[in-house]
Amino acid sequence: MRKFLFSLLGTALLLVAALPSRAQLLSNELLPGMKIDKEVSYDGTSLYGYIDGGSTLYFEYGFDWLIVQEVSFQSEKFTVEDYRMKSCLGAFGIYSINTFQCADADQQGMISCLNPHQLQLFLGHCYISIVNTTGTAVAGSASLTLAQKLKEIIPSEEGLILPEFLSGKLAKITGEVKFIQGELGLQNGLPDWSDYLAGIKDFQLWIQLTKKDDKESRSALLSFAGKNDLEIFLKQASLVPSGAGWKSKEGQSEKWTVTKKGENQVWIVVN
Amino acid sequence: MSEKNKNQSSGRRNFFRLLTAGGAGMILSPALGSGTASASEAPPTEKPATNIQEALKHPRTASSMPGHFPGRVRQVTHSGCIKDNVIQQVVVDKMLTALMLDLTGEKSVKRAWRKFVSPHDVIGLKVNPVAGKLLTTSHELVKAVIAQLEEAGIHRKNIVIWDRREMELQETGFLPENYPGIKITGTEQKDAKGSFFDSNGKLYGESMIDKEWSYWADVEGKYDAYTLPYMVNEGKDSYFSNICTKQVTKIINLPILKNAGSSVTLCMKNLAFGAITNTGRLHEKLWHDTVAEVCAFPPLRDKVVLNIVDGLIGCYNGGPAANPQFICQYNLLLGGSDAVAVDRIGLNIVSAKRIEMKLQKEENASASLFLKRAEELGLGIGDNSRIDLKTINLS
Repeated sequence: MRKFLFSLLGTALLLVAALPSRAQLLSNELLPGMKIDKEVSYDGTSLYGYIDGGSTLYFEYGFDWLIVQEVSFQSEKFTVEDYRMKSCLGAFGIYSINTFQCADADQQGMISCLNPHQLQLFLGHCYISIVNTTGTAVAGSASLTLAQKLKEIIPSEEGLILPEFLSGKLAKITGEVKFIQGELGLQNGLPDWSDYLAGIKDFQLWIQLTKKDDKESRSALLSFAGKNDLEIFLKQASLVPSGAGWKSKEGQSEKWTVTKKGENQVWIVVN
Repeated sequence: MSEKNKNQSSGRRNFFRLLTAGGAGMILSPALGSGTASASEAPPTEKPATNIQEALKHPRTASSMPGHFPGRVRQVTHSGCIKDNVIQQVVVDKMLTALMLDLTGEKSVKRAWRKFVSPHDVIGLKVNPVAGKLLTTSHELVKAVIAQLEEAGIHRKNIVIWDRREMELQETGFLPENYPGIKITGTEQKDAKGSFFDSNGKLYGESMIDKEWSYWADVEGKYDAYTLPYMVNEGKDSYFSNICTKQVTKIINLPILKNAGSSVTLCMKNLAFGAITNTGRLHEKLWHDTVAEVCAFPPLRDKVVLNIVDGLIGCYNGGPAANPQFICQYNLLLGGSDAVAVDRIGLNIVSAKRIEMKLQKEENASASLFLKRAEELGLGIGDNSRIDLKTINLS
């Protein structure tokens, strides 16, 4: 299944998605023995009512609405949070910075991250979190069943394109690829770079994190909206001219190589 | 379910677009460098003005922050405070006792608590249930505090458990049956039918605010009908809850050891954003200032006498919400009268955990801006070198 998944990504780099509707939510009839005990929705900025200040991160990525369902299934209790974003890209971005050290990732043909108490999913316009209270293997397995059902009922109509540099190279997406587009995304997903991009309002950052022989390297495509933002970034990251591009100063622990990729866009390699 | 925003534009982000067909693997940015001005091209953004000077006009009192023990922080750890994911009440009782005795230098629990409160006080316990059942101020800590307050001669009718949202208190188990004889209340309220509005169409929250006390900031709060009940009012004023201006005479602050991005949401954040309305407008440009400045207003500055951070279970990322993969057992309590010093030590702990987990390599320079602002306002000591920290390991 994993092979299938990534051959799909390698060919078309298409993560299918669709605009959601209520018909794409879990309901009592969908699985034998499943019961929706409670459902609450949050629309627009009313997300403040659910997670208060935590909502600003979701607004940064284009939050649309959230359905929170309390679900009983297979003798376990689950909280299913279905964050609907205005774009696939926003949903993937939120997913990418919310997932961390997954016990199991990208299994059963899903972009997913499984930990004992939580299964996280990227599905189309949705970032979905399924939380259980027991942390048992039974709860984990039931979470996967719920996730598979969600995958079935969220149709595939719209795609998200990954940048070219990620094409064909991915062992997996979860944990390796992050998409960041704002200050809070940086603070949550790549805090090391917060100071480098401080004060720059509009940027897009695709970053691939790879580890080989315990050594981490990073490859990134960074796009700015403003003409001067690149200069600000170079200065704040203490990068100096080198050939046609830039590099880190001598003596710094990280070795940066930065080359211009397009107007207001750079390719970054950090070793 | 409202879907009114479903097709709304995603705002200024729209000028960034990815290819969805043809040319896969490239980023198409049709309007890059044109249209919307970026931050660097726009005039420098000045920090919005606030009415902090109004707060500073009020004379300090004997109990004003940082209270009896400026710069003093006690950290109590016990590896057995959680067994099989269940917090052990008996152990928490011991941890709290150790913290109170060492913090105050007293020999008895009664005398230790009497340093901060008296039987004449109405004492508000400011808890933090915003992240839900997974990461609320633990009932074990709250019950330990109540038991020791009773031991110090405080009657249960003089204890109030409060937070901004009454419904979150209820959802996380702060219910009359669990706390008999103790008032449990929040600024934002729903009735039994789930409505935020009374029969006259007035928000219940409106009757819970005190318009005599306002944190004004030159940022307009504007909300849709779904959001307003959570904010209570729009405009440039954030009114203080009458729970802290009128209902209680002393506040014991019980936040959780949580991150907020690469910073933290601990004592001052729990107080500031928990005590006022119309907070949605304050996150973007004034987060650090709000955290410090709201605490400089007398309803908080002069009433918050003690801070005990619940670090039994906390988180190091994903906060202030609860993301299970980042929830961890710190197995500790932090305490002090100086909220700024306690926050500084809490930030050290959370930053160290984030570094250990390879989320960052060092403490983010901007993470402590609120501490610096609080120091400027005379609320406490945020400099590690001036903090008297003692760690007590019980096992």
